[in-house]
Amino acid sequence: MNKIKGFERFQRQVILKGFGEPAQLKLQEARVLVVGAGGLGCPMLQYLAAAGVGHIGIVDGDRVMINNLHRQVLYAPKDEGRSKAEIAATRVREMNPDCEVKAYPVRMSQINALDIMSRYDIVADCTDNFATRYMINDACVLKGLPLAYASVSRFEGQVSLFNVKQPNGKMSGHYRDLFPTAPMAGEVPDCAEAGVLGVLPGIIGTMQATEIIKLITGLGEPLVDRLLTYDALNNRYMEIRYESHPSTRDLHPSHELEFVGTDYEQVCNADNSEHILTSSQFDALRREESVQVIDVREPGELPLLEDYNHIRMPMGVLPSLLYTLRPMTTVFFCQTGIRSLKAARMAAEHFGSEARVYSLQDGIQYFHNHQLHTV
Amino acid sequence: MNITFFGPLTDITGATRVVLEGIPDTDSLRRQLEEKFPGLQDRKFVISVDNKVVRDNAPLQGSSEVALLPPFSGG
Repeated sequence: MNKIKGFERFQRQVILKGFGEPAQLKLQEARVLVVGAGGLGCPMLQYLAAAGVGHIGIVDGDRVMINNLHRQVLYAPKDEGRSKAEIAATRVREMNPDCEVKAYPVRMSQINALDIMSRYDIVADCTDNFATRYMINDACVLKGLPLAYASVSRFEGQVSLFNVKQPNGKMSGHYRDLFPTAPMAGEVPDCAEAGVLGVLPGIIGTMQATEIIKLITGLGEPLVDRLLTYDALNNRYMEIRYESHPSTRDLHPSHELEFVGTDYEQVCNADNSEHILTSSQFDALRREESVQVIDVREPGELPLLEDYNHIRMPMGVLPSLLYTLRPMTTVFFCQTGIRSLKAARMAAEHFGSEARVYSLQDGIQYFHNHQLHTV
Repeated sequence: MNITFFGPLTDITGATRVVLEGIPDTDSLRRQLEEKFPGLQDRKFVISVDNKVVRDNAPLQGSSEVALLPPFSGG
């Protein structure tokens, strides 16, 4: 029988009823791949390493930015511009030198996913975009790997375990049994667009890590075929049961070649380039003709734009108010140009050939850069 | 029946909860909600009835607890 490395370190959890040395050994032998070392990935890595998971892979192609630090607690200002995967790996090794850590400082894609995943037993989806989330899900379904899922938005989070082999030999439900197909770009605002409370991915990522530890050790009832939602604003938890749906089988690639040939980015990003307006193009447009400018952000989003002639029409009510707009050259803006692109698509459909519509690529930042009274 | 909205769907509905009566099934519910809140038409969400996800049309009762959950991308 293998020995537990650094037994003293884990003494307080080994003495737990139902835990013992066998559970600690299972953690030591486990191989967990954490995809995304951001808001969810940081607490995930900290607690997996601290709990004694023996082998951890970290995939992240991003570099540390200052606006990551309010929620990505493995990083410090001195890390700005450096690879998240590399720094996270260094910190994890410092925390638990017995943990074998491998950094993959690349963006996970359908090209490298199957190869990287083949070295691990469990995958944690700590990513921040739908293209990667659907790609990881489909890869885990193909490989028969369990997938710990979590995601956050503003003050809310979701957690579940996908694709876990059941005692009857069947696999549990997965992402596509909940949300069959990926939303289009701009349909669901991400953290850059909608914001996120810094502590929220800490809570949700820790819940996600808990589910992985339960899955490895066999403790308790893992969140299989159940989605847990949490709302930090009112401390509301809800659990929703789901199951494999027969129609889901047609939605994901059924063999590896088909998977590698699926362009997940393309699935989530239809070509909208005709509607995108850069800052300099907007400068030129404003000089040439009269333009109606529309803020599609929701009430309460900051900074406000003052002393500049524009219309406020939040995305939530935009579809029912499109008919009130004059058919003239129209520029939509939001925080970062994602929702406004969706607004431009909708308006283009509404106006047809009557008017040109654009989405301001830099969003509110354009007005700020032009010192146009943002407060 | 109570209908609860999660995440960015509340930007469209302006509320986390609405109460509707006399809706026979989830297909009718979806139609009524999309009429009331047109912004829901092109959003992806899953409907749960009494804490269970329904993918096909499912009957509703006055006491049903309905939730509309969108996927989140953030991490």
